[in-house]
Amino acid sequence: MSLSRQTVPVAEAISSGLHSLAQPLTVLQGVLELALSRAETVEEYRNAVEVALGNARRAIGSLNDVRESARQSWGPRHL
Amino acid sequence: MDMHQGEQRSTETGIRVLVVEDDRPLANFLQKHLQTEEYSVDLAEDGELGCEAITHGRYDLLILDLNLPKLDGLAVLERVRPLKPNLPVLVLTARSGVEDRVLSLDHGADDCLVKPFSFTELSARLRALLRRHKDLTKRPIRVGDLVLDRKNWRVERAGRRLDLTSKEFAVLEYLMRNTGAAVTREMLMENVWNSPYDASSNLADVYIKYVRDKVDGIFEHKLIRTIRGVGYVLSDD
Repeated sequence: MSLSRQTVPVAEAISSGLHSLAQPLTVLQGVLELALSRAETVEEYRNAVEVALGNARRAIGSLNDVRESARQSWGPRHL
Repeated sequence: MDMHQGEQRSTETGIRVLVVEDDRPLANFLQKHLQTEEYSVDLAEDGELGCEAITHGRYDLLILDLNLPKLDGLAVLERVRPLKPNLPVLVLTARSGVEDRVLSLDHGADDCLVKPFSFTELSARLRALLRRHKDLTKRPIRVGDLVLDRKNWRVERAGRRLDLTSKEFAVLEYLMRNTGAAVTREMLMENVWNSPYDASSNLADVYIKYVRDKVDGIFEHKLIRTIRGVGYVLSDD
């Protein structure tokens, strides 16, 4: 999710960014839980790791959006 | 039914679940893993598609995200609850505040999970909802002095037993499970006959008349009313 620098109020941007974090973290947790409890073949583990990695990257993207919004508002030394 | 464009319909194998979630990876994850637990799962990617699916479909359970495009989850609940008073609803929300959870429960949700959540917990909560719902569906339904007892296949009004055929029983049960809400001919065809609505057929009207004659025939207070241009409603008002 990209955040507009000019128009989105900071609090709303942070809230939105945190909300966006929730989706990939849910998938990340879920796919790893299920891999531990159900995966049996190397292929199944690999698929789980790939999905987990993709969602970890999504989460990092959302976190970076939140950081950027906070940085714009409060300056870099507050992070 | 999958409301994401271009995708194929899921196979109907058992308990039918509708997931209304706009985050595609999360929706796909839920669909894939719920299907491994033998649920039949359909997806809808926004609130309006979700409403349409619930209204016209035949689902045993709804998983509903609150933060949806076009129509948010609370608005979806407000629209569908009157139509589907017995449909178990599990709400998913990224808002962790108590007030938000209370709001969704007060709008008609049966349970609420805050994201990020454990899939194992989601799965357990679905089982709990379905267990509770199964218990509820076994209990007699009462509207005024009309009682329908599915377990014993018995219908009574003012203590007097009514003899209904199996299809008449199904029509009456559907009306009673949607007490107070307008039931269209389309809804009757899809939910009682499991058949798409054909405007040239008056099958639903014929059976409503049969049911009305038996339920309301000798009673001054009529429970089944026609809503012109819409369909029928059963209520004790």
